[in-house]
Amino acid sequence: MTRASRLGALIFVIVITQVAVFPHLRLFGVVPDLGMIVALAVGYQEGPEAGAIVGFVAGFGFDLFLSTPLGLDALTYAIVGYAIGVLESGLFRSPRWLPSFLGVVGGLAGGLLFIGIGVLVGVGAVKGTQGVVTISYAALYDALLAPLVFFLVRRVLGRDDRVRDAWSSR
Amino acid sequence: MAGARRASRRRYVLLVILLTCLTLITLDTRNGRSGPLGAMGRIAHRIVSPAQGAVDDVARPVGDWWDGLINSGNLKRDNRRLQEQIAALRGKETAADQAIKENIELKKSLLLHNLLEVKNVTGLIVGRDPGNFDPTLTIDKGSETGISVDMPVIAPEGIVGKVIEVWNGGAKIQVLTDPNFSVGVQTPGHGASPATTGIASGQVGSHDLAVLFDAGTSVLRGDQIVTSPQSTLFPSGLAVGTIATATNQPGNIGVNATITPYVHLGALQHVTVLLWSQGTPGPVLPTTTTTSTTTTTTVPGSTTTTRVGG
Repeated sequence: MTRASRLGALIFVIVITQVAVFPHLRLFGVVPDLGMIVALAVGYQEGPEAGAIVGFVAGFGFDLFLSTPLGLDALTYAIVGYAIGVLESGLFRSPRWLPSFLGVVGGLAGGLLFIGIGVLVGVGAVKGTQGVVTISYAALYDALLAPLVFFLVRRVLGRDDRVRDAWSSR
Repeated sequence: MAGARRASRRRYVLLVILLTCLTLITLDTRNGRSGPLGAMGRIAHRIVSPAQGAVDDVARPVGDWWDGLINSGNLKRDNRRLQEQIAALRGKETAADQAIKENIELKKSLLLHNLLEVKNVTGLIVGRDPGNFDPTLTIDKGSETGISVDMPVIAPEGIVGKVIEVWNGGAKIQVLTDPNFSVGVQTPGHGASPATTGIASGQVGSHDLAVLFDAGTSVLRGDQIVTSPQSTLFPSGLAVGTIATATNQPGNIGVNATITPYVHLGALQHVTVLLWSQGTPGPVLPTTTTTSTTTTTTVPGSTTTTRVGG
């Protein structure tokens, strides 16, 4: 099984889990953004291009199950995955708490992006301060789950330093 | 040189993704989910629905346990509140029974058949709110049972929402607390003050509906609100909720009110979809012909019927 197909299978499982399981496991009334955490993990490990592509696929898969405009999550996840890949190149160390930190920062940035674009395209539910409160709780939930998702992504992709460049040279 | 080319390619990939997403958002916002994009969504739902139902069976007890863990304080408080409500309702039950009997007798005597008889389908809720800004329910009945977009959805307590997406084997329901949801409602009359209608909408971050009535409308806290005859989405007379707050707008140009819905969305397991489309009263309202000695009521079609209003 190639890395791409393993990653595709992981994204499929993540989307199903997000849609079918996590609505039952709300924390403070919110669900986490598993697809975004996967985009963060791939962006961190494989670079900006991979983060953007995986973010787009995971977000599009999740969008199919939502009533918000199709492409909204895909856009958010892709930008966040890309940004983490760019920022990662400036990091010299990878402390243990980094996945959780990226989960919070990525969750907040992605959430704000989602709200901003959502307001522009007329998504009523994101308006007001309640939207910011919701994404703050969701970012905390993302931070809790990020170490597990980063671990899964690392296991699925394996550690191969040549791969990071391969996304861009393909 | 290679590094610059790689960076350029990265930017190109990001640009393509951004343009694709913006195109998708534009198409979806303008055309809805009726075209090829909608078909993709329906296919995804059809693939996932069986798994979703199976996962739901397993996840629901886990979710209940999780809720108990997270909201144990609220559960105790809710339990106490519900015990008090049960005691109060027991007291009202006797009076209500008497009123119902009286109502039936009066209707018989007036030969009124104003109860709606509507073909309906009851569905099990297999999914809810997959995202943080997506107040929807997913049920296990879809186009194969006659459900189509914009059909009203109710529960025994009152209205739940409307169907916004249908596929073979499932449907998605926009719930009444969604800020994009609105419904025509009617107040009860108070003495000389007649019943008034308004449009109620969901609010961001609230479980109550907001409504603006005309200036001078007599609205009291606890008033029972039903769907209005002008509602194009719902048959009239369906229970919506009770007035929670009512305040005059500055300048006395209207009355701002909030309605607490009767339905508790989190506790729903099943909902009923009324197979009724706006502007088609034929399948819903019984045609009543009265002769000198008999009254005949005819409802087109022969599927299940239920009484939903009065």
